[in-house]
Amino acid sequence: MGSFERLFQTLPPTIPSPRLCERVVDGIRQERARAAGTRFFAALAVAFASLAGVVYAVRLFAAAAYASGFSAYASLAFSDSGVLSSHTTAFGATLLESIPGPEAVLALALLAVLIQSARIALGSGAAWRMARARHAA
Amino acid sequence: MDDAELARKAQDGDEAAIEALVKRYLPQVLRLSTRLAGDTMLAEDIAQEAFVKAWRNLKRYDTGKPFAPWMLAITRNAALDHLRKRRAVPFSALSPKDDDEGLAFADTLASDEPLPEEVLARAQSDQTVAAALAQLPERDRTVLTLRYEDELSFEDIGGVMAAPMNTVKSWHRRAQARLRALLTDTVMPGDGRPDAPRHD
Repeated sequence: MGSFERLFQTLPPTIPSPRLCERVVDGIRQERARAAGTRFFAALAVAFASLAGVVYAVRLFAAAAYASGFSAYASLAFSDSGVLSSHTTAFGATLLESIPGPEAVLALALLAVLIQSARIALGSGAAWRMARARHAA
Repeated sequence: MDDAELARKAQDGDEAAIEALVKRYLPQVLRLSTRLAGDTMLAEDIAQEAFVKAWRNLKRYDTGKPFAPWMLAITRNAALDHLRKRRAVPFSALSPKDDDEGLAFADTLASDEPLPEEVLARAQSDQTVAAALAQLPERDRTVLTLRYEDELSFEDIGGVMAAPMNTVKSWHRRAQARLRALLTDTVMPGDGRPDAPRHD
């Protein structure tokens, strides 16, 4: 063993107290609770914003669907199934052509954001409550 | 369970794994923060902050690499932040100057140039090592603590201090020389500087 190794062996060992270990773990729990809380409120805000966006986009889609005739074609498909079975190809092509694309894409995209943010809000909300409960205990 | 497995579980939010990592690395983290802060209370605050920072950045930790250097690098940075705030001094002032007078010879010494036996024996009996260590600049204390107390390789120390291995070796030689000089001055006042390098 070298002389420096021997020298450093004379230093008193650093033994952390159990209280410090608890304090560190508690600090991490607190940080987890804080991070989960931030995620929860951010996801909740996005969820509400996207919900408003979805409502607006659905109204836009409905107006565009009425203007393009998509609503009429779609209601015909439900009200008279005979037309659908006898002119499947022609009816299908017309129905597809009449879909208001940009409005449909916007509504679907906002719906996806709403679902994802709601999932994150639910998950982080549960984690936040659990972390707070553990911290309080 | 090994560190990589524990870190993976901790990354997934497993609280038991986080606690196990804390218990495993707290002594090392506390030792380095004590050496750097020189104050037990402050060292405990630094240790706590280091673990919280580690938890915050756990997703970035590469489980293929050893955990200790990553954790100790965070500890060192947390300690430097604390010291900088506390002393209100620029970061550069915490590191030694490489061109310190009388230490240029340090690079010419072998890496394990031993301490004179008499100095070693008296330093061991007088418990002057901790005091001498506390007088060294932060970089020297870090290198020596990581090398002799944590028994890290030069490569791992380089990981902690974000420096190439050869630079760490050079810092290590300088730190050894500074410590040797301090101990010699303390336990054998009047003898002064360590022996000059031999060129034979």
